[in-house]
Amino acid sequence: MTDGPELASLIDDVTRSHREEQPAGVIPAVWPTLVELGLADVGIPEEDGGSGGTLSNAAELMEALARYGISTPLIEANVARWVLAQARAATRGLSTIAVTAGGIRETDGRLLATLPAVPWARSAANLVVVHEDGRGWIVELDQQAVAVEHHANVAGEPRDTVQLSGAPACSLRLARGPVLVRARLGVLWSAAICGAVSRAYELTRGYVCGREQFGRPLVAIPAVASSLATMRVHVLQTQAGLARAVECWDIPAADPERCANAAAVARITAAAAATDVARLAHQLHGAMGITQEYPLHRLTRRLWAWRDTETAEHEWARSLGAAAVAGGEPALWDKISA
Amino acid sequence: MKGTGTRALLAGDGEDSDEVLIGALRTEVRDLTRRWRDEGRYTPRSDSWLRSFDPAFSRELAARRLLGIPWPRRFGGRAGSNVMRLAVTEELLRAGAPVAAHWVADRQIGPAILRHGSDRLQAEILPGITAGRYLFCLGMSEPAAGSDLAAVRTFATPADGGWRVSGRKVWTSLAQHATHIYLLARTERRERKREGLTEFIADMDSPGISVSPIIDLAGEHHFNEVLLEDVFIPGHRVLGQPGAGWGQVVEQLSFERGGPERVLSTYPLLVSLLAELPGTADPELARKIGTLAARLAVMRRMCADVAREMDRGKAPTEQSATLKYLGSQFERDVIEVARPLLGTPQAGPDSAFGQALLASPGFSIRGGASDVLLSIIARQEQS
Repeated sequence: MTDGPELASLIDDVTRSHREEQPAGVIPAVWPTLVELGLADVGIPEEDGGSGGTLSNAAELMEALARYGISTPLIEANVARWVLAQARAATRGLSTIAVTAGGIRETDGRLLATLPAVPWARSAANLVVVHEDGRGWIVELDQQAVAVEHHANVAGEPRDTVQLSGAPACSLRLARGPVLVRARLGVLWSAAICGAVSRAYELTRGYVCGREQFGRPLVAIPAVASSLATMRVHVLQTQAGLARAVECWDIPAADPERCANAAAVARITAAAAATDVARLAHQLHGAMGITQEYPLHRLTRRLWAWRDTETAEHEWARSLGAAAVAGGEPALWDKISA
Repeated sequence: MKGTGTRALLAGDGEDSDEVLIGALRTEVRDLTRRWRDEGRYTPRSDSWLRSFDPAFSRELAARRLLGIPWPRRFGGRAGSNVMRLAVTEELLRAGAPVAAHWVADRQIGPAILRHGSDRLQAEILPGITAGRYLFCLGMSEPAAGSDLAAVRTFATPADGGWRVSGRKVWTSLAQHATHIYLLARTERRERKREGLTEFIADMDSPGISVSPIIDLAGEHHFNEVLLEDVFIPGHRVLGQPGAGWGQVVEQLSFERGGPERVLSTYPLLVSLLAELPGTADPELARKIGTLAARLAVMRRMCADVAREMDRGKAPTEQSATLKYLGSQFERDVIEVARPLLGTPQAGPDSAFGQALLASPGFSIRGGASDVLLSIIARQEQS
């Protein structure tokens, strides 16, 4: 496995000819290249058919990709592969994933369920279903008993409703449990937001330092400089939250509670950053940032969508708060914030 | 590719023993504060590092060699790291312990003397700090020099064997108890006001120093005005190079701003809030507490990053300014989250809520006003 800077420059090369906005809702042209290079399987051990490396490599990859405002099914494909690898299940084609607390009926290996907001379901061959109660399945999507209804999030990314009406499914043994599945998704979404807020900040800094009004650069206006600094502070927080969330997984036999708490911290921090950075980036860009031509909206629309994707910001915050209240101050100090 | 924490766990090398040592330090401080609390020797309170003054507690820490942890052994330190010191300071603040007597000496005066002081000054001052005997106050701000510290007018002129200093310092916390004062003074009139500044260490019982109280809005006395009238300071009490004061004090500010006390001033109120809840909270309160918990976790991480930078010999100015800016917002927001439960009509000035609220206006002013910190961060971004 290559290390961080090499990974980032690889992404830079691979995406070079793919930075134009793609038609919404279709797998981007760069995706087959990412798959060919094994980048979709980063963070999954080679002995399980992955590309090796750690979750931190996958996070670096996602961060780099998100900077270019390209939507790919990388996170879903990667975490689905991670679940499948542990269950020793083989698949072909793109797999996506849904974690749910909703009702799922299983009879004779067939599933009855309605799963809302499944990313990229329309383009996927397989769906990994993880229930919070610990059950898991894999379902082939191209069959009669499966209906996929197209929906999209605010960035135009596919978030389809999948209707399973007695669809044949293979049960999966979840070696690491649903909490860690959700945590892994959370870490990677934090990485995506981290990439997008960093880039939105850089674009904004470039703009206010270059654009002149009243005979001087915009950044000479103190309120503009303060807003720019506020964005920078959010970027630093997001990076710190992500770094500590990723580190938990680098320890052999990672403690699930610690990983889950750190993922929640990273997600809450990233979501708050997404909100403020998107707002300030647009404010400081003026009318220019509102055009389709200027690349800012490719970042901000995704930031608005990603802060609540998979598990919403307020749900992460409620569950982390509930953990603090249930465990009291010792839990807050030693298990959540240490 | 692995984080430093991981390496320590995997390698079983020196860092591993550091982890063990840090765990032991945390346990020691937890046990000590619990015992003092149980014996009724202190009551946890917000802003304890400024408002809870007990030299006996500071001497207890000194006896356990918990002051000056990163400093050389010959000065009473442990030759430990700033990361180790952070473990101790975090636990003390968490417990709302009475740490004000030694706080600024341990945090910034000692480190400044170690970085810039002469051998003689180090030998004279540092052992007194680690023994808990020398209590420092900071003679920085003046009536016309608040956020704009380089505007100080206190003037020092060369005299036989030393310097004569005259001027007026304000907002000098705990000067009424201090044995020593750190002074930033002008020694040359220069075109550029950042030049010609010099740092001094003076004894508080020097003739010509007088202290008068400034009572704060809570009725508490920690602020003072310190009048300096032709005070003699011996030559060896110059800290660092005459005229190089500005560069040195900017470094000192990164020690002043980059610590956990900029995040944890109202932590005791958060402790009270959690103690008040019966293991569950309504979803909206849980959401707010969860958001605070996430911010706390990220800032504790940033504190650790700053400590690691210091251990590499750096004075991380931007990181410290960022941390202080974020920390003061967190300290204030803790009060608002606690308010529906603890801010009752009978929560008086001495209640946990009242103490935190009445201390809160100072959070985003002392050690650098938030607006000024943002401009520091913005400047770094444009350069």
